[in-house]
Amino acid sequence: MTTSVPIFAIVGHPNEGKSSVLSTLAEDDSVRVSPIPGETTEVQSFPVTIDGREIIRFVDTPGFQNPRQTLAWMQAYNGPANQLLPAFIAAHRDDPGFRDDCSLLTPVAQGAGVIFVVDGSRPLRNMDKAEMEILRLTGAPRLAVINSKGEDSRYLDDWHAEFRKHFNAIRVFNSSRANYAQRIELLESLKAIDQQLEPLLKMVISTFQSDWQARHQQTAELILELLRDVLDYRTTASCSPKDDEIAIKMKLTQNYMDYVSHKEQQTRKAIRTLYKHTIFDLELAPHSILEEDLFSDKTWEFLGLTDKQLVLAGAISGATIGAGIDLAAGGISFGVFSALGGFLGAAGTLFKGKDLLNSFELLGFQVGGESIQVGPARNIQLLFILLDRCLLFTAQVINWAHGRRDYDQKALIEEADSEKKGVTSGWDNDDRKVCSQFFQALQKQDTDTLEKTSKRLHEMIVRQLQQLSEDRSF
Amino acid sequence: MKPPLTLPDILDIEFLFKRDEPRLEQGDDTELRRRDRSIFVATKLTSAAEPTTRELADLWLRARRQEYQRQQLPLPGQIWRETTTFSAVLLFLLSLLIGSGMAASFLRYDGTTPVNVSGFFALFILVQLLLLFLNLALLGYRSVRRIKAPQSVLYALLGQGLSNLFTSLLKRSQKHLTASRRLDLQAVSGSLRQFRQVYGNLLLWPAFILLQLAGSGFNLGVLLTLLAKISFTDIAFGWQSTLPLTDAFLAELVRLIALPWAWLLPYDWAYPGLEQIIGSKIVLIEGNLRLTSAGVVSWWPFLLGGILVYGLLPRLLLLGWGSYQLHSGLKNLPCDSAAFRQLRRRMLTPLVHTEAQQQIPPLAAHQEPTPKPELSKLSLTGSGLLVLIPDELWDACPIDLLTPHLGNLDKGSPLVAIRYGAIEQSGTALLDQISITLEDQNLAGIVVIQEAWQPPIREVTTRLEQLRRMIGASAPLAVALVGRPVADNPLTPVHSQDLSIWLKTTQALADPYLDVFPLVRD
Repeated sequence: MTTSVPIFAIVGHPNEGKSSVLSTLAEDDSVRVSPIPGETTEVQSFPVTIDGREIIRFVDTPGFQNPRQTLAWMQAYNGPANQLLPAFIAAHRDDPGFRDDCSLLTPVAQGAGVIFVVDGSRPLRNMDKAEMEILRLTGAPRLAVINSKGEDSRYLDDWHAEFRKHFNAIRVFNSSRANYAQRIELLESLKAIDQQLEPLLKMVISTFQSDWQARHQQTAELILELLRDVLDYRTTASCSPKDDEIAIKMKLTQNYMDYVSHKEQQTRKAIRTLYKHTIFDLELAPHSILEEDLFSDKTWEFLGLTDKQLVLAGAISGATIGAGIDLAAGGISFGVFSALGGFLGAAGTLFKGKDLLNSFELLGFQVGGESIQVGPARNIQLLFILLDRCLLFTAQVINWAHGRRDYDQKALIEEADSEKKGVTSGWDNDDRKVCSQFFQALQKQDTDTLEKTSKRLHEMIVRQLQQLSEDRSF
Repeated sequence: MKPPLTLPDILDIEFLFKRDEPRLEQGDDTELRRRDRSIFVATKLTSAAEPTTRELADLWLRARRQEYQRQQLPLPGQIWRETTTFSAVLLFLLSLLIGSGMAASFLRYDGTTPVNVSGFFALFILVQLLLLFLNLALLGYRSVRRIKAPQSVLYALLGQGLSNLFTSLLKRSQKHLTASRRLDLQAVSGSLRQFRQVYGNLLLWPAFILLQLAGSGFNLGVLLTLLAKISFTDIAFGWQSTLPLTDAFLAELVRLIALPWAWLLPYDWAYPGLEQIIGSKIVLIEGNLRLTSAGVVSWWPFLLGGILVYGLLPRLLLLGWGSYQLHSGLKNLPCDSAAFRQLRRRMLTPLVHTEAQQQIPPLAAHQEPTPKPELSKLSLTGSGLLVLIPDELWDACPIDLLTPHLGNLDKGSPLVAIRYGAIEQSGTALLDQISITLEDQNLAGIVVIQEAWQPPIREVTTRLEQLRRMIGASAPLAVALVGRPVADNPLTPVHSQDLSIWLKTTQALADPYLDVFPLVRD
């Protein structure tokens, strides 16, 4: 490589998904990707900068337009081998018909390594062989990437067989399904094409890894912030004896729900930005539970804990229900109800079951003097529902490749399926206990315990995100 | 090694965290990450060294302080330091004066009635001892019950006073600042409240230390006054009591009290013996008859020792203990709150950018293409078609298979096939072969079989243009598109999107006699 910053040029036939591969690799959804061939007409540079210093650069190029003529010219060339590409470019730069071919070969002439992308779902053709031969003649270090765009894997063996003749390394990469792990694997493959670049690529990979970790941590912070904000939220309205108390309660409930939904949307937006999905609005699957309103019956049916799990969680957090009664009793009960709250919570959860969704039970109205207050939330299920929705949403974001532009993923929730589909119902007792303690500390405004449980909950969420980012089911 | 964080450091860190909160609440910490990462990068440390959060916080604080110093802005830590130093000096001096004044007024001797040792002892030693025991009992209770803050009204009041003084100084320091900076510093009051929640214990130790400092000042004042009075005036000490205390009992009590220093001084110096006690007993009704010279001067070493051992020394020990507790509290500060964790993440995570840069302009501007070689124009008058079959389909797709699909072109027979697109076949050779075949077979036009899923690249359209030039402007020229072959069928229908792409591309050739159609219909 002759340039100070190593360059990798993504080359190939038009419409093989070069831009998609790069878009996913660079996590840049602003790259123009289109099913119509020839979307990329100009060379676009993707510098990888770490702490302000450019380490490597990827270059997206237009596809070959005249592979046979190019190969014929090169085969007829009899000048010095290292001048092959400059000579070709000099001979064709004024011909508009060869504009794309000159553009794509210019970075290679400047010493770039080659990442040759093909669509592995189609058969191998002579045109491809011509392109491979051109790249072989350039002498550039080369990696072949089989972009398996569709599900068709019939031709993969043919591609592998042909690639083995021409390339230093081969990697199968699905640009519309690739997640973090596949991105790292692709970068790892680059080491094989030029050993001199290994230390540099190691550094890039380790930086990508710590950046990814940091994003998980930040996401966990955002989710925790949402939980603290929402579960502690309360809103009050004045209510004189002649006012319609029910109407006021309804209005307050609506305000409460609007606030929570707004906060949830804000968190989702921040998570999307964090994972660099900024341009194209990734779409949730049709009938996805995430499309449902936070307070819809369906959300509460499919997400959160099961009744049995709720009983256990309610036993821990139930004291807060009693605290409300103590408050209503003007403190004269001296916390008797708080002490009983554990049993009340458990029993209430057991017998009322889904009725807890009822906003009055969920939010806990407090009527005192001339005002009505709604919130803070009393039902711990809200915490698990919020957690589930955040984690499922983040899983979608994490596993939505940046080069992906289709929205035909399968639904997460089938209509007839009535089992819990969230993440939290699969947690073990210890994890759920941390959630209960967090909920309880929040209710009691116990700063110390809240800080401790927040830390543990944060660790749990980060751990969960790591698992989700390796899960291919999204 | 953990760098020691001081209370002002913690105050500043909490203040600076508070300043960052609005930006964090917006959900985008890009700017903070950039700032904190550049602080870390400037230290030349590497993540591989695995610095502790405390070390990172220390580095971060130093950098952030420099930034504030450049703008000549006070930070709460500095104000706290000044407040506590000022309070310490003030309290110490005041206590020194009070101790000195109280001792001076008590040690007044006009040559008639000796100074009452019992009163002096009770006021300056016994009361202090009681306070000391109370203090120790409180601390013992606290450690057993694990109560977070010393449950003392005095500490609470002193702590509150210190906070008030700090806040008031803070307000004064703001006078010359701009409105926005004043708002910044107002956050300190808020952060102080939060600080007390998080670091409750730590914030009360300065109050404890101040109290011990005041106690030390008081005892020093008493001690110095006592020494001065003894040195420069003539004082007689006596003891009195209404209680029926025997001389022997008192002598034993005094001996016990003086035990801590008795071993240090000669026997008759450390404390008064039985004879001196008898010789210093004041019985007002009897006047000074019982007093002896040896008796009335025997008490002052005892009083000095008492003040030193039971007054000053415990205060100094508590002062040291308080400082140790504060230091150890600071040393063991976990630095693992959410804000510290976020700071660690921001400092240690490299800033990665992989987004696209501006596009590089194309190499060549719009220029005239290089002149194409003039092809011989043929005059096609016969019938039948020349079918160009791709090399890859040649074996699987004989002309017989194609014939039924090409019937609708209505150009009669025969259909003559030529294989094209082999890797070793040059473009010129193909064109020559086509030209010869067209003439020899007296054919009417050309049909090119083309896989529609392959994009119509320039090479393909160029060939169509070459064929058009070869056969003349209006001779039949068609592109018959086929879909992706399946195992037992090489001729499949064309995907509508592929067909659309081919139609659009070939329309750009502006050839009205060029026919593009799918060979196989659904």
